[in-house]
Amino acid sequence: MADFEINEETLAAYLSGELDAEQRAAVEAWYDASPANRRRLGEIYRLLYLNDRINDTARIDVEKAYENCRTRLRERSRRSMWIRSLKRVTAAAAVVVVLLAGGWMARSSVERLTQPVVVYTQVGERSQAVLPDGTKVWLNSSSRVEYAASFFSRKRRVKMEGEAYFEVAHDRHAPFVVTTNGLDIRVLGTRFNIRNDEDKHLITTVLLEGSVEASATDERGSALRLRPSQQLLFDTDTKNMQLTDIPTAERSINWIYGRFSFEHNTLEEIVEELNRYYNVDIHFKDDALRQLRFSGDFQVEDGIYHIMSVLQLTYKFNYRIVDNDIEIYAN
Amino acid sequence: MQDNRTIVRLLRAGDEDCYHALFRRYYKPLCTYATRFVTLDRAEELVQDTMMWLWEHRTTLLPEMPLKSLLFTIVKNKSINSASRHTVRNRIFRELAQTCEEEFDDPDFYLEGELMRRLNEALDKLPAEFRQTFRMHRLEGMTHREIAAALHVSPQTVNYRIGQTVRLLREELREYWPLIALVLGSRLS
Repeated sequence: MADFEINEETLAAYLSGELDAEQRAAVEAWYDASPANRRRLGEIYRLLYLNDRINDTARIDVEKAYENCRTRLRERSRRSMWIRSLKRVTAAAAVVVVLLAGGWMARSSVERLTQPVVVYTQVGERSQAVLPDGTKVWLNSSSRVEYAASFFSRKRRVKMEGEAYFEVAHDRHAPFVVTTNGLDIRVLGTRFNIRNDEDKHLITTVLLEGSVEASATDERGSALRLRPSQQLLFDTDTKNMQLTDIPTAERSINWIYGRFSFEHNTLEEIVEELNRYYNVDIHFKDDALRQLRFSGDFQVEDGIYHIMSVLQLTYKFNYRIVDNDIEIYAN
Repeated sequence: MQDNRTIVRLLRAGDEDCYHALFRRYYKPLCTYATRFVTLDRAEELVQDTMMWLWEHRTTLLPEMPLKSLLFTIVKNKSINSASRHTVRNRIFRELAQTCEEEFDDPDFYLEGELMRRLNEALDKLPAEFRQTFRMHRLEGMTHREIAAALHVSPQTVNYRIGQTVRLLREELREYWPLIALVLGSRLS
């Protein structure tokens, strides 16, 4: 230790992880001692980062990579001729629209720090994204999540529409708040699903793990705490909240795997659900049919026509396809 | 590079020359960016997947959607979901990483490559053996001792060369230290 001196050699060795514990402690104490020291280590960190990137990529052969991609693309397009018709439905789901609204397009750093990250999906699409804080989010059809946080802020704020499932990266010091349609959900680190049903003025929040607090936006005084496997129904008109136990909580996120699951649901509910995923209008020609009940598991990729034909196997109703619409009528 | 709308229009029309030009422009910067998170081999895989995705989905591209952001976002998401390379060792590494995050996350940092060019120029001013030592120093798995053995010099010599190189580079790139370094300097003080 006697001959240990803080200089460019030892600082570079520190950053490369080559010092022993005692020497590391010495560098860290030195680092904490003054702004100038922190700046000096920061500069070397940056130099080494640059050098690493140059080292890493020196042997890249762009033209070879291009030829490789072209060959694989040709092979794939030959194969896909066969299965193209099967794929038509999934293709829509595969278009992941991840648009960084700010950040990389903004010029000044002030703008960069305040621009939100936006992820959204069109009808029939699903998407998954990782937010800047490490939180994973899955978006169901026609949904949108907007994340705003700066590197130096302690708060993580998300605005959302539609339906989304969050796995929030744990950070005891930075509460994560989701705001949707007048409801605030505050969390520390947890898994939960939020679904908006705008026409029913209803937000359904299901907690799978951890703990969250729900309150009408800006009314934290009246917050309700959810436990795992509980469901909160929030009426966006009356701001009423209703908390119930729900043993099948995991079912609420079937959609992230592209699964529908109906369990003794009315045909009306099922049709509403199908309308969210497929660009098809389904009409009832006989209102009594709305109350028929069905159970079954489907994949989004199955496609609407397959699902209708399976439901119809029960012979409880009949349907026909008229242009882009489906009409349901009595036998 | 022409404006985004023109490029998207050409891509949508299936223009392979345009795709080739795009590939040449973005491939290396995207790989460089991805090596922040994953090894080079994995980075090349991810970026090739992304570029193929772009071609196969060219008809769904929107003229308003900047390709630069799209490509870097996809590569970032893919890289982060892959095994992470930089295990953040402790508070100090986290702080250093955080203060540079904005700069290192900026596509232009890789596309324009001004700083990398300057670093290369500065390295060129050094004697070859210094340059070689410095490059080897950061190659994965090479400790000072291993470099010393490979170059038939003493570990002290390796240390000295690295130290001198770092000093010179700090000097040469002085004007490029961004404001962000000041943020780090003033923290807690």
